[in-house]
Amino acid sequence: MADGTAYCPTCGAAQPRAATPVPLGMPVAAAASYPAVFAAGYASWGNRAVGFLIDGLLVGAGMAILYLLAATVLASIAGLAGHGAFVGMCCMFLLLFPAATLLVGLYNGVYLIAQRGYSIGQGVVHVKTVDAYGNLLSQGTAFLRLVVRAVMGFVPFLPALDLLWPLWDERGQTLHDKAVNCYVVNNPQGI
Amino acid sequence: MDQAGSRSPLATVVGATILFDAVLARMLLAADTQRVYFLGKPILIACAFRRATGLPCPTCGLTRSTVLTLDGKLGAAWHMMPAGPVFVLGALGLAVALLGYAAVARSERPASRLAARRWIVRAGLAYGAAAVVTWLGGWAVQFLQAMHGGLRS
Repeated sequence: MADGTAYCPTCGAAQPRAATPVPLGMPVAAAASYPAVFAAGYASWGNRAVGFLIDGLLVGAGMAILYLLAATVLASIAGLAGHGAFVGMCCMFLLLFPAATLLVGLYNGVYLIAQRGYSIGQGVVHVKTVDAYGNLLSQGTAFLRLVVRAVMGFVPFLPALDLLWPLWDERGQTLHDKAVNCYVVNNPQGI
Repeated sequence: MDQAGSRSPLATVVGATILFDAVLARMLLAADTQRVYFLGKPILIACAFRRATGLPCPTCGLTRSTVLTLDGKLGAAWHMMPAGPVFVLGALGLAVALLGYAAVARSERPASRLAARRWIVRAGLAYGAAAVVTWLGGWAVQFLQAMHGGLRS
């Protein structure tokens, strides 16, 4: 392999160089003709992080709206507007964060990813989420991916570990990618 | 759930992180029936819902109950809010189950892996249903007590 050519570990045949980042677990028949979508390579961690931050801002905006709604209702109930009614909504944050993640995620992380392959943040940095065969995720798989991510949000440190995981993962996957066996690849054309 | 523990570390990472969090929380937090303490200093955050309505929200007492459970005071924790011990024991059980699954997955025996995965999913679903019932049931009792003037602090 001194010339950089990749060989199939099963049959020993030389493989096209552009097809190097083939997902583990792909059937041999599929590996013989790697999906073209993998030719652009896995998305870099920097791009993924920027996309994640943009999507995170959308969740933050959703949280702010829910927070204002909840605070307004509480202040109205108690007639406490202007008297510290907004202080100490720890339980609200405990409920609002997953609620906002799911509400925003249903559009951004499920509908958009299943329809076109990328969320709003991923679209900005030109990356795309696909399954092991290079196809778009189904609605169900995208939803499961979102649920895994939201549940991980309840475990301290796990979201940070999830975000950092592509730094040392050979296929550039986060933990919630691994849960549904999907990949995030470069999408220079933005299609 | 991952494809195989030796190739995908999801189960190991999640299980180990839960155990790490439990140990860290046990080291940094303490609680009595009134407050939670971080490194010995009280956390002075009151529930806005309770302040506004005088009634407990679904998570009122959950932090105290969780920390009391981690401190081994199961009776006090259950009395504070039954969901605390249930959540802590569930999280620790999940962590152990995931680490066990990761060990089984490394054996590369698909039958064992599938059986372990099926067992974890079924146990998880049963636990989830029981935990939700316990949580909402405990909250409903506290809510009714508060409505009838028996509000615990």
